[in-house]
Amino acid sequence: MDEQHFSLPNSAPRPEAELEQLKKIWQPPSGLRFLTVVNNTYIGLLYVGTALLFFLLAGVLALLMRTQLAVPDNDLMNYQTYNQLFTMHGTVMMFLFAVPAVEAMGILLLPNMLAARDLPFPRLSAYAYWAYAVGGLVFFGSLFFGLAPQGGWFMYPPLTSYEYSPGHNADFWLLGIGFIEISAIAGAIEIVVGVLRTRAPGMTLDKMPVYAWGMLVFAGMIIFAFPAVILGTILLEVERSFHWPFFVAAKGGDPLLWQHLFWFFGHPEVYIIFLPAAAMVSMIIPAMTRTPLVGYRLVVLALIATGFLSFGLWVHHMFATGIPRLSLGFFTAASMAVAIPSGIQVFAWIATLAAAKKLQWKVPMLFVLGFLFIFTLGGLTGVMVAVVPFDWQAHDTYFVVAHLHYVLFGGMVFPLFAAFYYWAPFVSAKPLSKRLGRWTCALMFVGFNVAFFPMHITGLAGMPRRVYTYAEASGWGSLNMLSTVGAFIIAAGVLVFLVDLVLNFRPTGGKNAGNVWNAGTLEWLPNDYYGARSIPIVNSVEPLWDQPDMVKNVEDGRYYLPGAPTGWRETIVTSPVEAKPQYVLQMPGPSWPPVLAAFGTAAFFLLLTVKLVVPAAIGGVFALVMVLWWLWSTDPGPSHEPVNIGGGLRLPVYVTGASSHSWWAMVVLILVSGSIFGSLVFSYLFLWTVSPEAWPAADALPSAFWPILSAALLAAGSALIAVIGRRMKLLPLLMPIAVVLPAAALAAELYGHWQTGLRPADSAYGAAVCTIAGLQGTFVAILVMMGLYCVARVAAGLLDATRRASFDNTMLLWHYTTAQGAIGLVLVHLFPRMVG
Amino acid sequence: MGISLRILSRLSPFTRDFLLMFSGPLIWAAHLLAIYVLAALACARGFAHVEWLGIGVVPLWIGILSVAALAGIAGIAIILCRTNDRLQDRRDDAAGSQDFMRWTTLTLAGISAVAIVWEAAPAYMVPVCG
Repeated sequence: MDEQHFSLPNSAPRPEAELEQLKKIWQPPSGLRFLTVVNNTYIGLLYVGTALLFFLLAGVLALLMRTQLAVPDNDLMNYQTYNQLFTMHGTVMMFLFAVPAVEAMGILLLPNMLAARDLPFPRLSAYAYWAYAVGGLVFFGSLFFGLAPQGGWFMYPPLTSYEYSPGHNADFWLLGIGFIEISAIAGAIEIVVGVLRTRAPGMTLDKMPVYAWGMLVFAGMIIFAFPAVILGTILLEVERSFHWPFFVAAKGGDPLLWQHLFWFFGHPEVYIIFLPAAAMVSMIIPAMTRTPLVGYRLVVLALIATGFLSFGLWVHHMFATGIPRLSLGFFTAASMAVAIPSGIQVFAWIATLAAAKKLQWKVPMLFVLGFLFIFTLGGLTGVMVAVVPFDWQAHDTYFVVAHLHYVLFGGMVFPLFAAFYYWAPFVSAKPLSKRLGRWTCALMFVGFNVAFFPMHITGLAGMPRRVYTYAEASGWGSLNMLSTVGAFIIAAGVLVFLVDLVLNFRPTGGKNAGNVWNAGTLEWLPNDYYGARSIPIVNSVEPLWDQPDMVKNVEDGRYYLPGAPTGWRETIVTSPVEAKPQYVLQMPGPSWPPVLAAFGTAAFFLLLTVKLVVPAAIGGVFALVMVLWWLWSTDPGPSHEPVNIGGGLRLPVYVTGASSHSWWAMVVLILVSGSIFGSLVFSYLFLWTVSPEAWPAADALPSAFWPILSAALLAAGSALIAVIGRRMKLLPLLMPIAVVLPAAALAAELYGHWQTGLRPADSAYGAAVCTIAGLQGTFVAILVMMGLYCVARVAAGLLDATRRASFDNTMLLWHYTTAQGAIGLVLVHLFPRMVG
Repeated sequence: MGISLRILSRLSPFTRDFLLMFSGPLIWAAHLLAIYVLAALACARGFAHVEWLGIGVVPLWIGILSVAALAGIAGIAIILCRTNDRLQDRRDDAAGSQDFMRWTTLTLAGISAVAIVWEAAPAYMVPVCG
């Protein structure tokens, strides 16, 4: 559509001082205070850099493994070291490189792609980054002290429980990785709210860049997949520390419960990594071909459909566990179904390449072609291992190692390197080198296929994965030597990339090399610290192609919000479907509390790993104090009159209720909480299915009086909160009473069970019931803190009937906790009576 | 149908539109969960061999659940056709966005229907336990 149809919101020339003010407000801190930086460009870049560091570190581990396996009967290292290496290689690649790398690219790119000045919770991004960086480095450091986990990246019990892994090694995995998952969830909340609420005006859902769709699906998947493994890690850590027998068959537990929880996360995880990478490809191909993506709607459909269907595939990692044959059939069928959306994307890319008038053989394009070749091969072997009888033959052999690397390296690493080359000019004053890029791509492509293609054959020849050496008589020596040579060729490719970075990568945070590819999306608008000078009105998926005057008009400040009318960092919040401007969000600048809170959180989890309980508690309290300090400055209230952003649009700077960004974030957090609780309900029912004998008869359950009392207390708590919501003046009076009620409800529930002689270490039933109470207890403790925090804010004059976001968030979580408690009571008391 | 329309109309427009858009995959997820739980219980509790009306209880219930799920998906298509009539008169940006969501809802429902049929099919091909 022609731009002339739209009048520009700020058609008059802008005052000169406006740009200077904008620059000054968004200027990053210098010196030591740079650590407090919050702008997405800086945090995103630090995030990507740290993820790349973990890629290199885990890559070095791979080289060590390949050196050990190069020849038969090698004694370079013993099996204990080798076990730590393969466990750390898989864990670091998946948890510290792959997920953070794609999330980091989202944090770096999304605001500019949506023409927002930053994501809506900049300090949350900073907290998530620092927690990840510190926690990840300490976790990796465990390797140098022989403390690294040894149970493989999926850590199956009973091998990893207290009996067979008595040291601290497994705890490093459980607590270290469990805590880094919090980081991933924080990032996901940021991305969901960012994509849905901070898009440029006019960027309706059908005009959103495919990458934004990909990241939205990615974040949604994290919200529902990560909770399963978070619960799993809690259960296994509790079993290791307190001997609650969730996975001990002799006491009614089942090791398969871990596998269900792990793979309910683990399979979507593959797509959590792949979908953002695929979405990057869907951005790079149109730019390289100067042709809009063929089948935009189909590709969006494929992203959403894959997001859902990937949750129905987890059992295909468990084909060899003795699950009923019909159940296996369901998951083979689901594996077939997910091939449909994956196929749609591949054909859309091929069609776009075919539709191009001229193909640019630039480095990003070369990586994309490498991706198409390798990923398609990985997909084909995926179809093979989805067939149950074949999987039984190939299970736990090098065939699976080949398959998973074709999928992950092909499906994620190649697109990521394409993205590095493609978006380097967006963050750097110079693009990366064409010549070195070609060398990188060629070496990585050749090296990858030399390393991993032979592994299909090694696997079919019978070599199991995770063995530290093999006998010469097995005949696997030459294939292994070939794989080792390939691994070092990949390393050479990565080395050339690093040289390229040193020679050419010059991140500036502000001005960049510009739109060197002549791409059509908004991240290629002229940028500075503050993002784009003014926030454009978007009419298509590739606005820079379709609105030729946009670049100049944006730079001249002719669109929305060309300055900083409230004197703060700001961005426009728009409606989620139609992207209509709703309010101006004032955003925080650099500050210490998020960084310090991240260090405190890391200290809490990591010191707990080595059972230094008191120092860990000090770290935890410190983190809590920092979080409270950080929160104290949030919820600024209607601190400024509504502001004019141009085009006669006068927007408020503060809103509360269902349209505020903080409400949205809390709803997303509740979805995460509900997923954790849902996984726990599944665990309870699963254990009941496999060990009904561990469940008590109806007359051995607590008297019905206790759960009824508990439910009444929970309901009374929520009722009081509802009353406060209507009459905020009553908060100081009623809140201290309200916080006692859910705590009393929990006490009644626990007392009822205790009276029956239930002890968590005695049986899987006892462990499951106590964990349901324990999870409820965690939420109650949070409610008590939030309730008292609200009382303190009222006392300080920071919370009233109009400035009430802090209370609204407390209220939402409160009602959720009541619902969770009620469902828990039904499950624990009514369900056994019905089936008993 | 009337009740589900009334419930949908009480939600915020965003929640309503997104729930409707994801309704096909949500029905698919509920269906997979239901048939998986059914098969697991049939083997764990030993009722897989029971027959009703000359057909195994597991394939019978999987058939019933699958027909119900497909009927639910057909219901979504009917809801969409009704809302489509209201959209006919609109030619602004919002209409483009609504048309996109309607298309996505329908195609997601279509893929979900295929997945439901595929996942139900093994019930008539392989033994339940074993």
